[in-house]
Amino acid sequence: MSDIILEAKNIRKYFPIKKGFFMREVGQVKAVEDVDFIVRRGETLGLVGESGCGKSTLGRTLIRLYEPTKGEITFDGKDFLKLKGSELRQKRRDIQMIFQDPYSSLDPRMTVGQVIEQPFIIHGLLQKRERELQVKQLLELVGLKSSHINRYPHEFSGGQRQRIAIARAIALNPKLIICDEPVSALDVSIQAQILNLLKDLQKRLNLTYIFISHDLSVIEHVCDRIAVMYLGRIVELTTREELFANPQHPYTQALLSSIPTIGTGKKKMARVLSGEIPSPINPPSGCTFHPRCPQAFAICPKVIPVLEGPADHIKACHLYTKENSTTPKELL
Amino acid sequence: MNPVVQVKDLETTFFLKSGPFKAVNRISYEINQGETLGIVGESGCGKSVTSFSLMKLIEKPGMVTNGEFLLNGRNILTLKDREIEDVRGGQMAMIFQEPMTALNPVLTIGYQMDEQIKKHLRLSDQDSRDRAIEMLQLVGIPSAKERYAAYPHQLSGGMRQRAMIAMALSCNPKFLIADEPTTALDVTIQAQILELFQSLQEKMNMTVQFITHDLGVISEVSDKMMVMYGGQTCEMGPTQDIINSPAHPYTAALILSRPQHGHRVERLRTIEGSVPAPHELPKGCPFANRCPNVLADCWTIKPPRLPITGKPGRTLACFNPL
Ligand SMILES: Nc1ncnc2c1ncn2[C@@H]1O[C@H](COP(=O)(O)OP(=O)(O)OP(=O)(O)O)[C@@H](O)[C@H]1O
Ligand SMILES: Nc1ncnc2c1ncn2[C@@H]1O[C@H](COP(=O)(O)OP(=O)(O)OP(=O)(O)O)[C@@H](O)[C@H]1O
Ligand code: SF4
Ligand SMILES: [Mg+2]
Ligand SMILES: [Mg+2]
Repeated sequence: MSDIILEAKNIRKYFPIKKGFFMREVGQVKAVEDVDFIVRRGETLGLVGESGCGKSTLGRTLIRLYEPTKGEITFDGKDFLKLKGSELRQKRRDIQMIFQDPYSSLDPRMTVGQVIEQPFIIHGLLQKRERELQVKQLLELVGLKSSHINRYPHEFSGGQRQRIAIARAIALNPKLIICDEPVSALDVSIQAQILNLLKDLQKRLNLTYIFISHDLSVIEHVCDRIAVMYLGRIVELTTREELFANPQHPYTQALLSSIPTIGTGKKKMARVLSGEIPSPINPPSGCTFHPRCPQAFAICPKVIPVLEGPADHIKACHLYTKENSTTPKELL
Repeated sequence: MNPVVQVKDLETTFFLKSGPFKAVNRISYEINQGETLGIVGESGCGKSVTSFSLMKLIEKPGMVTNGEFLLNGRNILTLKDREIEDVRGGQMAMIFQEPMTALNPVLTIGYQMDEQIKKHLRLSDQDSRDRAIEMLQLVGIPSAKERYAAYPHQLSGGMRQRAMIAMALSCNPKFLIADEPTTALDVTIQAQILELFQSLQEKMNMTVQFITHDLGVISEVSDKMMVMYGGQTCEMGPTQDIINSPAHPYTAALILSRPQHGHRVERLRTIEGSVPAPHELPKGCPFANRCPNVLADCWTIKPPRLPITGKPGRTLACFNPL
């Protein structure tokens, strides 16, 4: 069995923008742009980045909720995009997603039991009695009570609803779970419970996670490796230790410098990054970060930097490309 | 000068099949003009219900069963439906925790903003549109002109949240209730939104009630804070003072369970146990079943909220504080 569970190659996802009565296509939202990465079995790969940079779209594309505009996905040794019929259904069981919004991702008209039972029904697994038994075990596993089975989602608090979503995601014993902002709607003490739960489950069930979050302290707590995204692209990818100790992309540096701190007093909020947030509808030329980058120089608006560097710390920034690494920026 | 916001003994009850449940249990606070009150507390402790109550948005089986809310001296809770319509979205606006409670999925963002702006600011079609696009730009939505015509599902989670913020701020509210306004946003955009709040506060003396579970954010934006648990106030006072020396055991536990940058641990600290079900709430302090400092009295007598001696501006409801 290969050590790599998922490999994404040149993934691109564009959404058409349509206008008028005839729904003419007038442009495209370039939500994900040539994304390349691998995920190793048993690890947690973090995905951070600005709101709207394409994290959820990438996640949804990886589980084929969206068909990519371009690219290849190899999942567990199989060409995931080419799979059809029963083979596709089989592989789909192995890759699950916890969606960003715990409130709207649970059908309010279904009881918790029905919600968690659903994946078994969709895949035609187990008889009714066995399903109920499974659901009860799952509820206990995520720290709820099996007696909750007949309650409706609105009768639970935000944190409990998130546990229901987790129970549903692990129901079919998946190998990979994409967690899209699983704790951002929760208060800290419940955040801690959910993060501990995800870690326990990872150990017990040998799970691999892709963990999407904009919260760096959460990312730091759970991830082994971290990919930083900006405007649809990965701009830096390295281990957790490296990223926090030695962030290299100017965007990553800006992200790290703006983590709110506790106990330092009310402060005058300052923009960490100046300049307009760019749009995936018409992204800036060259390095898409250049209009906001404090270190941008001559070449940045002209050439798209490639993601490169030593295998354990790659970044897409001209400050580090071969031609420029030895030339001080003043001289360019 | 009187505070802009005065909430007195607010109580909101849900009349459920299992019996009445006080989601907000006699809460009182004041906010001065231009000031920010931060509210933190466990999920389900009544933060949103408090805010909905002030906006007169509580629906059956719920009801405000006691108390009053004065906005610049005017009692809002007794207003007629038509009168409150004029206040809501105009003088007083709310940023909802779940953007989809405020946004209609079948209407474009622009249409929804226009309606509100026309109503409260009485602008022409063209001016409303300009105002809406300007607000979308201010909250950092790129390609604001194109996004003006987008439906909510075509925006990312964080963009929906910002569209709602733009809508709430579009009519220059005097009092803004922000319920978890930045949860879906990354730190750089969060900083931009918080900066926008502050500049509006300075320019227009806006008064803000800011609900968040992020103690870092509370610490950086609020002047004073209120910690809630089980529908009640645990403690209240100047923000820095509480964060640096919490008095209530719940506040202290909350501060300890925060994942901290640069202090990675194998397991995060959690608060043992969970919030009791409404009908299981202890007669005394709502935190009794999880409190490390619990005394016999805590179970049976409700601790009254009293000033802390030697600490100006602080009040506390606890028999055995830190
Ligand atoms: N429509 C309703 N019917 C019944 N109970 C409700 C209703 N709305 C809220 N509640 C209950 O009131 C309590 C307070 O809810 P509220 O939404 O104010 O919590 P919160 O402090 O905002 O939590 P969170 O941090 O999760 O948003 C909860 O126990 C909740 O289950
Ligand atoms: N169904 C859709 N139709 C059109 N555009 C879309 C659609 N879904 C997403 N987009 C656009 O794609 C871009 C990326 O959105 P995505 O939801 O992936 O961002 P995200 O990184 O998850 O952001 P957030 O942190 O705010 O959730 C955004 O510009 C968004 O408007
Ligand atoms: S390539 Fe240039 S603009 Fe882009 S991040 Fe590096 S220095 Fe900044
Ligand atoms: Mg998202
Ligand atoms: Mg709430």
